[in-house]
Amino acid sequence: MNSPLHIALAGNPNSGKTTLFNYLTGARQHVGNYPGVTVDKKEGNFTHQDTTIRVIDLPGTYSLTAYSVEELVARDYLVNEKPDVVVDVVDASNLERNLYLTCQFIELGIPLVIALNMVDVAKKRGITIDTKKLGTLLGVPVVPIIARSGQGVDQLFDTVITTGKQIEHSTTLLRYGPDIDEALREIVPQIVTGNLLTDTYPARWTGLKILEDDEQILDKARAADSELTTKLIERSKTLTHHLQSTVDAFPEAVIADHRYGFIKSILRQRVVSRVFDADRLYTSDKIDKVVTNRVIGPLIMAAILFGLYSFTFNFSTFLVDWLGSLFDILSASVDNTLPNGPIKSMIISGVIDGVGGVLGFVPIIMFMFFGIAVLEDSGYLARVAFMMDRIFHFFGLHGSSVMPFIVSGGIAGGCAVPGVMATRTLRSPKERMATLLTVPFMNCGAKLPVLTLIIGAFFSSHQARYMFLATVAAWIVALLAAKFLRMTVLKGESTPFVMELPPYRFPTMRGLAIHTWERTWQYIKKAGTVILGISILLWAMMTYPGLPDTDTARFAAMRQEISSSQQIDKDRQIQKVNGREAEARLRNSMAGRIGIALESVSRYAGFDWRTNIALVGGFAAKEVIVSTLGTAYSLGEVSADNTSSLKDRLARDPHWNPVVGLAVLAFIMFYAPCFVTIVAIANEAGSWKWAVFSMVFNTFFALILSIAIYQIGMFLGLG
Amino acid sequence: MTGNHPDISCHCLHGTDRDCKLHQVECPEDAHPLTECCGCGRVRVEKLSGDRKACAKMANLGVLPGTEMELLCPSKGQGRGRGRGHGRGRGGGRCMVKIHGGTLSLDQLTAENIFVTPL
Repeated sequence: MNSPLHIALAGNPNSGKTTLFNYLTGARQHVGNYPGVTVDKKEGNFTHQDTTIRVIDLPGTYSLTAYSVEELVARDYLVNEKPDVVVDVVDASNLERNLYLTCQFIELGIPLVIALNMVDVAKKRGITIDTKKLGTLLGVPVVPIIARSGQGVDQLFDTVITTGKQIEHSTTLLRYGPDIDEALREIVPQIVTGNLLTDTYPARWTGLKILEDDEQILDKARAADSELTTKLIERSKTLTHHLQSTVDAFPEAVIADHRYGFIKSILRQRVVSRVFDADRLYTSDKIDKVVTNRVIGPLIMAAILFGLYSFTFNFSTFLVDWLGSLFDILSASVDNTLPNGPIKSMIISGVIDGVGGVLGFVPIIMFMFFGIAVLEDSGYLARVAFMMDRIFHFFGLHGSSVMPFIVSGGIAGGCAVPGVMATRTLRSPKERMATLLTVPFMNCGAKLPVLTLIIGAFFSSHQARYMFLATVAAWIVALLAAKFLRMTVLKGESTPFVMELPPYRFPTMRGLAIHTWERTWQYIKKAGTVILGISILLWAMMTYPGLPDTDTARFAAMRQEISSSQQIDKDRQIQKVNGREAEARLRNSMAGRIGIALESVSRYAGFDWRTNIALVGGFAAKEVIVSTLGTAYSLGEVSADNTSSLKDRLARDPHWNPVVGLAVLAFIMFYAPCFVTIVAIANEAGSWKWAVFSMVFNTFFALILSIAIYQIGMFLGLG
Repeated sequence: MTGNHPDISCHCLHGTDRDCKLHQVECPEDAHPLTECCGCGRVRVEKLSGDRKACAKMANLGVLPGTEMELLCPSKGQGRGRGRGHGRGRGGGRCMVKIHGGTLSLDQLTAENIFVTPL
């Protein structure tokens, strides 16, 4: 059996590369990560004319330099994996910019086919392209396509298969002016003679990269032949000095200038004809006039973000409830089927409750990513980043950070898990890390019942005001924490905010569905592996060691005594005993012992051991705080939605007062994120180190803040 | 100083500042940072400054000496060497340019390093 034809889709961001990939592979695609980086690696298979084709969707790049992870990933893949054919997806309505990358593929000498995409958009703009002539002048076959509808895709892959079968590929030699050409004439023979990286790269390309001061190639060259590389670098320095003194430019600028010159020279040979002026404003520019307006723009943005938020959290509710009911039925059937004992307890409380709780987020994640995909594919997300960059830049973040903050609970009630996952839209690593470490400070939906409980218990006369203040405080703390991180552990220059704003387009339903599903599926897979393990561990901590036999017997005797007595409210009395037993069991558990041990520190913030247990349990999910407080305060099962009785109990409890309430409130808002978020952080950061950092940093900060609130409040006599 | 050629094709995404003349590039005729232009219209890139990596990045995006581009959304008054009162331009130092058929958004630092003259 023949091995499949291996092709790579490459091109500028927004050139329609992923649209073509989705059209070709549909649901038969696999999303992973390139080794060591969090850049998505999309791979799929399809058949064309009895030929099986394996296709890789490379990250979108403007060039093949070493300035961004995406560029490195793309060029390393092309060089190391050596695809049979590279399909360069070029936006026909923006030919000049897109052909710049094509020039670099030509320099790299890879087998190339140009897919001239969006010819319909170009036609609407009055642009006609002579594809045959363009192909002849570039020395590369050019096929016009419309990836959205699939028009021309069959012809494209006829050409791809023909190109893949060719042994020899024509090459076009680009010229870079007398100075650089002379330097290349000197160094290329030395590279060939010395076999410097010639197994991997064409000698002329290596020479060009040395002149461009490409760090990755220089490192590889030094490792291969230090002496020859030093000699070549010396020649490069001479050239740089000469160009600096004569044209005040670095070699790479001169090289880029000649690439653009090459493109212009081709386009001027009647390859492109325009009905309208090249600088005419298109619909996209006219829309921008309104949506990025300094007054109307932010209002439109706020409305759209609020719409996304409402869509995500309102429309997903019925699915969340439905999933919750499904897991309740599952729990009930296990409860009825299995005999009482640790296995049953583990399956219900560890596996079903734990994984079920995590899978309960799936509808939220699905709806949120659908909304983000609409904003991203339509081109609006880039405008949001542009408008927000001014504010976020001050705090060491990026304009694109706004979306994760909103989703995580910027408008109270979001969820940090999709928020952390939404940081994928950020391309700069330090801003991305600062964003994903600070989004858990937002008031997610799981914190709301807890905030409602405590505010209701101690500040009921100003409930709305305190809820609003909690949202404002979350934003302030998150942004200041980001600033702090960017000044300390994530210190470094801010990434310049230079990005191309794609023209507005209507997203395709197929593209939206695929984007949504691939992210959701990644999350579901995680729930079945790491999260299952952690869930069982947390269950064990709150269950073992169980009550000593003597205590169990004592509670059983108390129940027996109530049952056999003549009391009227037997059920209530038995429930009370059950509550006390639950409290005693919790106190004796590993989590309980931790709670008691933590009292030596937490008492400075006014927390007793029962509060500590609830906070330890809150690591599983913030909603657990309410139910654990209920258990710890001898109320038995307390639903997160029905907190009125617990509220009264806390308000009357001698250990609690408004100052303790405020300290607990601050702690819950800012301490370690729930373990699902922690797993998401580890996954997105590519390391557990940052997940652990997030737990420690947030908890330490929250503790200091709570101690300060408690001590100052008590000193002022507000308790 | 005011640009010599009113550009009827230009548009200003963020409205027009009171200090600026409508539909005119208002920046010094000798090369000055892009951040000092306070109107909309066509400009020519004369020089790029900043570190080598930043210059190379801009070159890859086609921002090269001799290239013409259209300033869609000026940052106005965020440039170096300006006196008091120029630190709060409406674009917050960010600007939007149309070049080689694409629209680029540039932050203050990048825009400061692009020296242009009006066309």
